[in-house]
Amino acid sequence: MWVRKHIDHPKHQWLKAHLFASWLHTLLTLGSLYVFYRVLVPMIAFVFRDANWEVVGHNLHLFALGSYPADQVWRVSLLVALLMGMMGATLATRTTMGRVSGALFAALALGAILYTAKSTGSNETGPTALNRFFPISGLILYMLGYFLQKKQSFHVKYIVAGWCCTVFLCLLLLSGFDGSTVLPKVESHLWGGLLLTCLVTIVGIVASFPLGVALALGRRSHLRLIQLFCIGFIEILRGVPLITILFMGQILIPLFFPPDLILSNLLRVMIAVTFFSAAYMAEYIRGGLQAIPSGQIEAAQALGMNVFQTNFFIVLPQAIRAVIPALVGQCIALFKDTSLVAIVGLLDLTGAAKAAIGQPDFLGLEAEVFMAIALVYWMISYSMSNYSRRLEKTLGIGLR
Amino acid sequence: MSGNTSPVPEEIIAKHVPFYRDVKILSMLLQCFFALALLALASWMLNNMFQGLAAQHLKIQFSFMTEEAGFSISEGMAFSSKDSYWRAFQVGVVNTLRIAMLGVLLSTILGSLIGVGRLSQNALVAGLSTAYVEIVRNIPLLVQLFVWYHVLYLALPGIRQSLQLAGSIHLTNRGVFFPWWETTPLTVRWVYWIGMAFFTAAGTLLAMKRKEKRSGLPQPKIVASLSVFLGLVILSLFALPEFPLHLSLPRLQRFNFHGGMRLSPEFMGLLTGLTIYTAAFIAEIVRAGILAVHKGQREAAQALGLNRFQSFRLIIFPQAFRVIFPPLANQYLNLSKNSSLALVIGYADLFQVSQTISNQSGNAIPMMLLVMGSYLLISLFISAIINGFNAKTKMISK
Repeated sequence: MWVRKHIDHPKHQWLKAHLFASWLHTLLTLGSLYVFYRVLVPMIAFVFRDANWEVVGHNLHLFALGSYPADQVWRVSLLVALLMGMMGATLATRTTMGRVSGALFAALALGAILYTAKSTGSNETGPTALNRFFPISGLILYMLGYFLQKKQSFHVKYIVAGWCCTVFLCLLLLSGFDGSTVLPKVESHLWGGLLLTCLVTIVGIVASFPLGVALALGRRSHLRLIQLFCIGFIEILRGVPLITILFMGQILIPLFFPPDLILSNLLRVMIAVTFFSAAYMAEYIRGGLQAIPSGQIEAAQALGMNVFQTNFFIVLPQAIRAVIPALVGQCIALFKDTSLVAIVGLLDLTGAAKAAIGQPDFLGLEAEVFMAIALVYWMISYSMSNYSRRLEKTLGIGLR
Repeated sequence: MSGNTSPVPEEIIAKHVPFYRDVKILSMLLQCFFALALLALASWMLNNMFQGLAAQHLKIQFSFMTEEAGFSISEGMAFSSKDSYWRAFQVGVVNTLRIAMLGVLLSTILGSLIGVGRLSQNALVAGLSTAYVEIVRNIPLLVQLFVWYHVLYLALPGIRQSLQLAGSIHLTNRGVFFPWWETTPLTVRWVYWIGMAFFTAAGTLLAMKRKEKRSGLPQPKIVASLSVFLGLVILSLFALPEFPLHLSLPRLQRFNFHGGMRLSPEFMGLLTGLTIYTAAFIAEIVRAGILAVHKGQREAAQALGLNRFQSFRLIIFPQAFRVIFPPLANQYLNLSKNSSLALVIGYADLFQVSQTISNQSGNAIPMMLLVMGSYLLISLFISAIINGFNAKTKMISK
């Protein structure tokens, strides 16, 4: 770093060195203080004095779960508990969680738990004992996953497999079955809020990862036709905005399949998001593939490995490890991008915010609603990016 | 990754390797299989599509583009509801380019300032810049756009109670009004003068460069050519009978402001949102680029007796720029693609206009193809610039 650092100064000189080093710095300090004053003071005044937070309190269910039936909320609590278990195991794999990201995550989890406890507690028809059990089980499972992984340190492939199974289970749990009394069917157009935002993100990532690996390998293949196809797929999807792909999904996917096969809006959105994300994943993974020295491949061939063995046991593990931070970055980007599904009519967190603003009781409260959802988005993606930074450090990538 | 770089001579392979183990034949077969599978899938899907379209009596054609649009666009180039769909599409494209170019310019300036600010030894400036980046980067652009549009620009006072800033700039919920130059009959003559000044300055620059090369001594070429240009332009103002531009101030009349320039709340909302969002990413790129220059370079510059400005301009900046440019251009690409979010606040860009056309005429698929084609062209253009730059500035490795 070429920036001068004043480390050796005694403490009373800190102010002089860092705020008033020269007349220019004094000017900058005063200017920053002015900006601080003009932005922060009205903000605090708004948050604690002028804002009408009733719109958020009243619509908590809408923001968290959309129109998911209130007597089925326990299914979401169970789902959160399952995901927290997986999260604990994942975070224990490589690194200790950053203090900030840990605190943020705990705050978020606590909020979710308190929320489900509150909304299920007020509802007497559901199995109340279970309702009380699931929120607590979330924390227990989280710690269980964390310490089990710390102790046993399962291979990453089990973690990945665990995620795939959990996501599949979650989808089953959310949608339920026709005619079942324990898990009655809940149509996907009722899903919404933060639940849907997280769901689209997780499904998008889990489904786009294998597709991205395949596209990246295909793009580096010697088979000209496959290579051309992959280049075309990746470049077209990366060259247009996500919103056009979402609209394409809305228009084209129903046309491509026979009319008797009806795909729900959510499924079409998930397909579009998966394709979009896969194109970006493929480029990151290709970056990792290019970083593998050719000696590795030659050594694998010398050992008599065939193409599949070379790729799956030698090349890909190294390539993916090198681009993990970039992939986490892609997860954050996808999480933020899922806000666009509100444009094609899904009731995700942003869609729920738009719905709340439209309520006649709460007209003109845009600032409160957007501030609330911006805070939720910020907490989640900030803790993810914090995690990614720590991961980068522990993996020793990007250091010179 | 298969080994067709085998050291074994071709004729030996041809003699001893059976065809089902020959890499060439196998890869050919695999590609044929892939092509067949792809063709089968595509033809099945397209067949379904054409059947579905035929059932709805729709066709994929572009002839509807010449029909009368029947809706109006208040943003950008003049457009009336009597004009064709094609003209509406053009208006949309120009609006997208307008917002993308302005956004690129403003976000580069803001992003560079904040990126350098993060490295400042002034703790307050560094902290403020860091807070900006961490807050803005982690909130979806869509939410930010809603905030700027609904909470800021639409919440401004009405026309009569407009918020007046210095220099008769009026902030209202119907847009921002500010003074602007209007052309007069003299403007054309003035443009000729400017063109002449430009070419003279360019000639001066070339001559100075030549002299520099011949004599081997540095010449004040930039200063000289700039002063030639400015001198000629100032001279032209004296040569013309009166000032070639007319300053028009926005004046409040009965229902609206007249004169000056108006930027709609939609335009301002989108521009503010895109600029602030992209600037956060650009700040990170600029910061990383400056940090990527080894500190020995800076020390060496000091040892050579260069001052701070010289060492930044001659040593740090050229090296940092090589690192900065490719991701920076990528951000420009992202900005142009993100401008399609104009749809949610009703700015008449390429995507929003196309959406209106496709709803109005019922030709969703042709419009989608046109939109995707336009965005792909923009992307191709920017990536061509990146590739050209990379080829030109690639470090020659030993």
